Amino acid sequence: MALDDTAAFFQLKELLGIAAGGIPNNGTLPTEPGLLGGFRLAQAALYELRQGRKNLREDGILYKGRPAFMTDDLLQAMQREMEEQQQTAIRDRWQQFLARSGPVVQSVADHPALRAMIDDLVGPVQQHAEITCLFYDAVGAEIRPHVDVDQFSVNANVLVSHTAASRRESEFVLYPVEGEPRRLHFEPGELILFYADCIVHARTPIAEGEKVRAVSIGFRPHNELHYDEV
Amino acid sequence: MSKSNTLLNKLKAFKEGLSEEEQQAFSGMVELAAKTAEELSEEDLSRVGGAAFTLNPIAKTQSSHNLIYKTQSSHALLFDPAVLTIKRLTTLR
Repeated sequence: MALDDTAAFFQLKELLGIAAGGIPNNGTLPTEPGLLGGFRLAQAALYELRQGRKNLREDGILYKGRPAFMTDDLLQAMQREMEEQQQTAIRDRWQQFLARSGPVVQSVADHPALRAMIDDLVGPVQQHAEITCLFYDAVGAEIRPHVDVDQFSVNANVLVSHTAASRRESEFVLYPVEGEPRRLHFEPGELILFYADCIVHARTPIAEGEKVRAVSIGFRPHNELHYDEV
Repeated sequence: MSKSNTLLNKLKAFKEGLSEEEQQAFSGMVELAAKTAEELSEEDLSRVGGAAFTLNPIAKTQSSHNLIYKTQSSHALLFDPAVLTIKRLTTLR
């Protein structure tokens, strides 16, 4: 299908993202053949919209782990700052709460080592980074399968803390274009860097006594079609 | 012609060129999208109608065109052109 204007490109992307959100948020694929085919089509089309990116693979992952710059001191400072920022958080969909970043989280977004990693794996990105602090406290709080908006084309998602009264139930799930969904395990301080605007991902619901704090840092590659640069 | 109608017409033309199997997948995709759009509408309406709703100063910076606001996920809001397109697309199933 020819997409001869930027508006159509992003409308189609949004439509595909909405379709991808129609599956259950439990880390599984639809079992009904028609819905499975529909989900796979949406995934493939989202991927194709951004094909040609550096290091873009079927799972969109560029890096997962704890980078050397994420020291214990830095992680603890992030945890303290997020506790303060939570007072200003506002409710988003599905009981997810969002807050702006403070100076510590901002320093992570601007950290030369993170920027160098992104430059190496993605190529040049715009200087400005969008930052969101995410809070999941309530039972059932979740973010259903989705792709990110353009500002988070490349997403560095840092797990700041994950506590539970007994067992950690909520998971970060990533849906590769082919194959089974991947439930990714993180320890605090670990981050995933991935192409979030073309690979479906989710956080499954929070259980009783469970809390998750995460930071999402969005980057936009240079030399790509972007929503507000028409 | 609105932009969403332009996309709708392109999708209509696109669907006509698909094989039977591909058309089934396309219909499945539209069904998923319609389901999500309905759930999002309900979720957004409940939040707009509830005391917890606050205009989101963060998310406003992440969107340039929504009536209320848009979050980091690309799930559309009520009245979003993509949602309107989906509602029209359901006639293509």
